[in-house]
Amino acid sequence: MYQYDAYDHKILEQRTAEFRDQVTRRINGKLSEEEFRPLRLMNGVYLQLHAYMIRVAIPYGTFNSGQLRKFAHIARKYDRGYGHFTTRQNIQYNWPKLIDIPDILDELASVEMHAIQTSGNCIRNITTDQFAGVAKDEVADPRPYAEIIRQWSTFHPEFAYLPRKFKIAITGAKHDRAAIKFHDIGLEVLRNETGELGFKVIVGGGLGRTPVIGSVIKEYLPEKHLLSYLEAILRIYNLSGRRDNKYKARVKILVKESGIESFRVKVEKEWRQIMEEGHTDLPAAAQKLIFNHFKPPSYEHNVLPALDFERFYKYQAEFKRWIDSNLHDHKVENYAAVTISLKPIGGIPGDISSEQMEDLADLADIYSLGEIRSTHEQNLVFPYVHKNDLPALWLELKSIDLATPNHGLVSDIIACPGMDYCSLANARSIPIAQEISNKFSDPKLAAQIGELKIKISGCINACAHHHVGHIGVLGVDKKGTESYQLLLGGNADENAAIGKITGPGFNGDQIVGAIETVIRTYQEIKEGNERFIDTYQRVGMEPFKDALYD
Amino acid sequence: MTKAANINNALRVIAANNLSDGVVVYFTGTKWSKNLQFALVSADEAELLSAAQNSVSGENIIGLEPVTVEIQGKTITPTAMREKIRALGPTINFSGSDNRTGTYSNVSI
Ligand code: SF4
Repeated sequence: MYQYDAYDHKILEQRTAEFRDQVTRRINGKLSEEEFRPLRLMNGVYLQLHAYMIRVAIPYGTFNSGQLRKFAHIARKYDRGYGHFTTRQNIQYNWPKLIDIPDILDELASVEMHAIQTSGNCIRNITTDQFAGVAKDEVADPRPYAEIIRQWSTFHPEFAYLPRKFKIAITGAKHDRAAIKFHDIGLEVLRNETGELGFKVIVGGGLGRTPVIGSVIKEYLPEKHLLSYLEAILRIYNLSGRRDNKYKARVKILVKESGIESFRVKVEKEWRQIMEEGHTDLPAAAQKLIFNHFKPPSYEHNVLPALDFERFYKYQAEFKRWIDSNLHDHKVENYAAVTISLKPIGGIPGDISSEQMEDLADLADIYSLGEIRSTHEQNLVFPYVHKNDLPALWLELKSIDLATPNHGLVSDIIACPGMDYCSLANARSIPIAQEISNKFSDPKLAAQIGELKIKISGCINACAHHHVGHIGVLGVDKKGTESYQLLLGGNADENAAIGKITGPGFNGDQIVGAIETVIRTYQEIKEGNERFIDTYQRVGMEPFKDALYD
Repeated sequence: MTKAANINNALRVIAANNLSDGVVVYFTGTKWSKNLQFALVSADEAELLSAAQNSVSGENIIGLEPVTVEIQGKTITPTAMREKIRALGPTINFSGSDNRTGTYSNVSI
């Protein structure tokens, strides 16, 4: 993974010193709240319902065991002993004191981490496939490109005050695990007919108030032109994006209002001009330097004597379930990527204690070459596990409550913090997720139901991506009480679809029952091995609607 | 203004946050308390807000906001769920350090 050089260390050092000074001046009254607010947001610090919240960037969801130990330490020393992994592959803390935040940033800087560009109208943390670099189905590892974009966009003066926030996702595989069609820019690494690497570029996707599936702006962009082409898109957006209305300021609205053809013409013109001016693409030598950080590991493997995988798989039902749901194909023979579910039955999606983080860091050192990934579905991944080690790893994970065998199943729910923490929320998300998880706690039932993605947002900002849940839930405010809209048929992968609202909403006591009805209906009408989403696509909304509102 | 008195509806208190730690506080009439039950309740929102603003020294209290409440017996209760949660804390509890309940015990091979 990428390691900072002296220059990276220096800019972080300067940045944390600058923020320390800003906090001191704010506490001393030399900066007003109005002056200070944008400064704290630029450093990932929000004021939420109960306290400040700090969001720490995890570039493209890759981190190491030392960094995880630091997350644990910060949670214990400055917060309440836990952290929360978000749908942007970041981690956030819900209870820090403002006066402690400069120290937190120093602690983070000591392990090459920060909270820059996790808030504000700038290019946010680049997200990618959690299996990047190890996925069997990938064309190329997307992380070096994500790192190139990160370095290019960090503190890019031209793009520090965009009309609105700007999110970029990149996948190296055809099967899209990074939801690229729902980002301001989505990139798919691919090869052209002659085998050269490049990108399919998608623009203007997004969720929130106006969900839009992104449009392809360029079917094939040669690899070397990545930055100049992104620069051209960003420039057109920066110039023409609406600044008069916050709700119409994202690039998706610009693309929608101007039409993809006209937007493409403007971008291509700008791109040509950038090239003529002496373009901004990365010199080959610099690119090589970055790629060197992402060379595959040696896969040197030297751990405990192997337990008998076949015996475990045959006789230990829980282990079998975990293997069947949480294991993923690896490009290296005898290795696997393993999802570590942060969705214990009845638990809070994405939350993890300091102790669990520390134990997990030790396990990563033993079983995953010290590397961990965070996923946009609020889970973690060990990317380099030797198959011989799976029984031992499972036993260890089980002892710290991190072996829930539910990846991609009914209880693997994405839920935003909702009204329990978030000042923008209309309704709670977490208790709904917990109730669903408890209701479907029987692993046999969960296996029968099969792949099902439930996503619950506490407001229209859609941080939990409810529009693209197979079953989506949106919290709305009904005269001061919580109410929930139910959506069906959304999909975040390469078959992107936006869910449709079933009809009138449900109150907090009804929504889980409504979801149960939807699942029961699916089980009654599914054909063969159809997944929920397949059945929905075959039969449409009607049977579900009939069952819900008869 | 009457402290926690039984007066008409549309009663308000003023909520805010401590600058240094972000903690939610309520205006008591003279100072700021973490306990909603010490809040000054009034039907005159403008007067209440202005008194609260005047009490803020050196900007150590931020985000002043009127909150609608009801008084049941002697208990002040916000009418909106958001404000109830803000006053009492999250309705869910992540148990942090003591959540490791897993064991090796039921594993037999
Ligand atoms: S979706 Fe709304 S309630 Fe949930 S975290 Fe985002 S802004 Fe807050």
